[in-house]
Amino acid sequence: MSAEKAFEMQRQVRRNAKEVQSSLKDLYSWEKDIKKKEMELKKAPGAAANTSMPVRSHVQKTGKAEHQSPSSSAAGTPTEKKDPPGDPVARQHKKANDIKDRGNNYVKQGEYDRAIEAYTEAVEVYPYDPVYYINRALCYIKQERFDSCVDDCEAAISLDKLCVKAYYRRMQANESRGNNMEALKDCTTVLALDPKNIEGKQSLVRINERLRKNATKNGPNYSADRPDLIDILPIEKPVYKRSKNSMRRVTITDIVSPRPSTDEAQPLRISDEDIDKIFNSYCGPYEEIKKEDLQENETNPDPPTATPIVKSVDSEPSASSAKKSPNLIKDTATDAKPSASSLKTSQNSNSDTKQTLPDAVKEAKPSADPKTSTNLNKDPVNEVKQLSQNPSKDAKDSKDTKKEALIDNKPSAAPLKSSKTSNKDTENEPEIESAAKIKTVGGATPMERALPPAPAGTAQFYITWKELSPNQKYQYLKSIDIQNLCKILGAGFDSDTFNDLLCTIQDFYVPEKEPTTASVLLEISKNDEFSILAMLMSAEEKKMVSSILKQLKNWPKKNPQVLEKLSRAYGVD
Amino acid sequence: MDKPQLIEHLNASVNYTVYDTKWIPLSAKFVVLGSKANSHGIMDIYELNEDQLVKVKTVEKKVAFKCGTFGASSLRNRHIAIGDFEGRLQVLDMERPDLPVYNVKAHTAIINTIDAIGGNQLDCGAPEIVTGSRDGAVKVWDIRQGQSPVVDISPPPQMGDGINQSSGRRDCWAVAFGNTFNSEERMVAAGYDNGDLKLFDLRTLSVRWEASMKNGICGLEFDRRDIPMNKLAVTTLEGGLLVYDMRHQHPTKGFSYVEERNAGRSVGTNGVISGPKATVWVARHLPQNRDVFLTGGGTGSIRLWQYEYPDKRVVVDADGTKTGVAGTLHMISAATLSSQPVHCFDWHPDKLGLAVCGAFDQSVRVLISTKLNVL
Repeated sequence: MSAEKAFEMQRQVRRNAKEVQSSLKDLYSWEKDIKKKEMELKKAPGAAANTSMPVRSHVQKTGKAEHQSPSSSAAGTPTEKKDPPGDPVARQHKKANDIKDRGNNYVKQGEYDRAIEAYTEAVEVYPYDPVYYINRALCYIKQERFDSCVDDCEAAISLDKLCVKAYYRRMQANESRGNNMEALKDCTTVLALDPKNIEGKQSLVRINERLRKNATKNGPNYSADRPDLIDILPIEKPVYKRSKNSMRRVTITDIVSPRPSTDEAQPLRISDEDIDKIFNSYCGPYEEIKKEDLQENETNPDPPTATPIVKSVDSEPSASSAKKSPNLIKDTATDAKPSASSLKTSQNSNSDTKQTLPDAVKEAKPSADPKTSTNLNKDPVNEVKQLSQNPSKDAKDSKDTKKEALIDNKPSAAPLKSSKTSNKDTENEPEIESAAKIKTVGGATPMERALPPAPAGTAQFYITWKELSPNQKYQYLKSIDIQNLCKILGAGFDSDTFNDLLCTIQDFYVPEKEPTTASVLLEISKNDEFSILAMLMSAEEKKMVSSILKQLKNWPKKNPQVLEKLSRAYGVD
Repeated sequence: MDKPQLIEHLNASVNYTVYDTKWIPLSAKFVVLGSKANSHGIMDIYELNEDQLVKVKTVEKKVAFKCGTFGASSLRNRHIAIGDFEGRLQVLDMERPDLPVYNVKAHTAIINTIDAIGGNQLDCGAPEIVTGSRDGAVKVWDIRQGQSPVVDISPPPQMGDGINQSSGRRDCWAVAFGNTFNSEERMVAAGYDNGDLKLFDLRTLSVRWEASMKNGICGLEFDRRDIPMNKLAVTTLEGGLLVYDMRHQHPTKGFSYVEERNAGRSVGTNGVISGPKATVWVARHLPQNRDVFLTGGGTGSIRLWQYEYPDKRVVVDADGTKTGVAGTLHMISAATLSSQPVHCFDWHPDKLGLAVCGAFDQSVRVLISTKLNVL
């Protein structure tokens, strides 16, 4: 009996083992199957979600909620928007935006804690939008949690490097924390990104003020505040904007003296605007250079402080761009020469000129470095600019003087001398005249910089365009490939630019008999914004266009078809 | 002799506390949700590969995960709904788990339990997720509706709520969907730590039925979600296992049930039941046979039960009211897997007898069962 039982048990065990074996085999083959199926499923297009069913809370209820608490109001909110089924990421973003809006409302009510909560939620839902971080940063500022604010700003910046607000908030936080240097950095970034930011400008002045105060209190190496002092700050440029040229080693002379004596003060021989250009930023208010200071400074034979300042800035892009500056300066300086000499001639106090001449030459000689001498040349130019505020009427007169100036203009020392004299003892009257003349003659305005390269994109075009003189606009426009013009003008094409373009064409293209005039006009008319702009053209503009077209018709090489097209496009006959 | 066997096929030891294990539908993969020692949430995806388990992916988040479900996801779009320790409900796409598809602060305290429905069943209503939390609320979510639940079943505000939120509120430990046999009908069963069992009708937004067990309710499951309510398995602390017949509700007596008080105790080799009355953590019906279910107990043992219907499921008494008749429970197999409670268990929806379970000994086990088809 027991033997039989034992046998039975053995059989059972064996059967069980077999059973397990077979089920394992079964499992393995199933695994293969299911994996294949899974692959197929993955390749198959995503089945539409089961969205045909309405959301429960949107359905009319058939019964009444009796045992529910009043808090179950969610069941009765049919106003809740139904998110359209679509890209899940877009949906997330939308949802996060909804949450953000909630946060914004809290901010309006001053409930920053709840707003922060909302923004945090938004960040969690969709962490790729810097706006949530910026908004939360604002709340943190209001709560004076500056560290958190800085963290958020950095998060926002890491998402969007050009996020002006993030820099601005970080600047505020840094300022509040007393990190003036950091704040200054952020402030310059803000202004670099958005040069018109008024708050940024005000902050810059404020921070500069404070930094200087602190520095004079604590910094032994910091020279005292001087009216002509300009802060040049390191600025971080994105890699692609940095100069491709290899950097040049410059010898640095230590000019720190125990105390900056008044006579040591050396003029900055680079105009503020040039410095701004070099550093791609606004470094300080221009008004700081006063005419008197300059004159005073000019007589100073000391090595110019301008160079050391540039050198001492340790950020790499500025160093490389500093290298470029001499060229730039030279350009402007050479441009300036005729005008400077014209200054001299325009005023008739010759005796004075002669008297000062030897002095001037003497002073010019020690600074044998051509760079410095050209630098010197520029200062009067500055003056001219400053003085040429009210446009003068007497263009003819000044043209005569210009001629004289050109004759007079021979040795390099001459303009130097003449400028000095003009600065020292000119009455304002003639100077203004000459300045005005320079403007009206228009060829080379003294402040002109090197022509920027042809723009690669719309933004670059507009930024550069605004800063150019009429003549440069002409050159600049010429440098743009006509085929690209329409694209470069882009969607930002506005009536101001349009007007500018027309003026440029009228004033330069037509007199120069530029063969591309018609095609430029045609290309402008291809812009998407043009139809509206053409509709809104003022009478003056229309007159301009018709005169241009009239001129075009008189040119020998004309294409009647193009002209026809133009007149139709511009709505003139 | 021809009884099913439960055999541990594969075993993976992990370095975190396992809280939930779920098969990914139509695949040989399962997810393990848990909490690391630094209380970060972790989701591991394992794939069966013959005689070994391959970890496919690991996702870590800041908050520990408590529970998850694929119930509201379609077969193609594998979206797991996860409840975490801070009351957040998030729906993750398994292919891109970094960015949740849906994320909501669902509760003020830990989400203990989650269930979902409507993902791949046809004509049975919208995909919805139900969560139960320590804050006492049971909320139903539809991810198409923004940040608010479609149904919120919270206890009314009480005295002292403001000071200590959870003071008077019962901890919700278990929720389950059921009765979803057409596009309107849907029930949610919720079990609380004081032994309360509530049945909410989502169509009428009312409490359909309430009952109270002797012990806190740990696990709830309808034998099928997508049919008119048939049976409801309830597991409690101290080893209680009750199966309610949900077909007929008596106006005063409610639903009838069968109770097994020893379900949590361990079964010795010779079938002798011994040991303390341990919690029955979980009950899971076999997807292929709704009358068979498995319970996981606090002693680390699992048991397979079969429910046998009575001859007549309903009796009509003198005044014409119908009363349901409960059937009987038979234990058909038992196995001890671990020294720690087996608290989560999931049958594979596609493969009969394949299951994954997690225990508090920081390991997950893949089980196969033989002869389930002959029951």
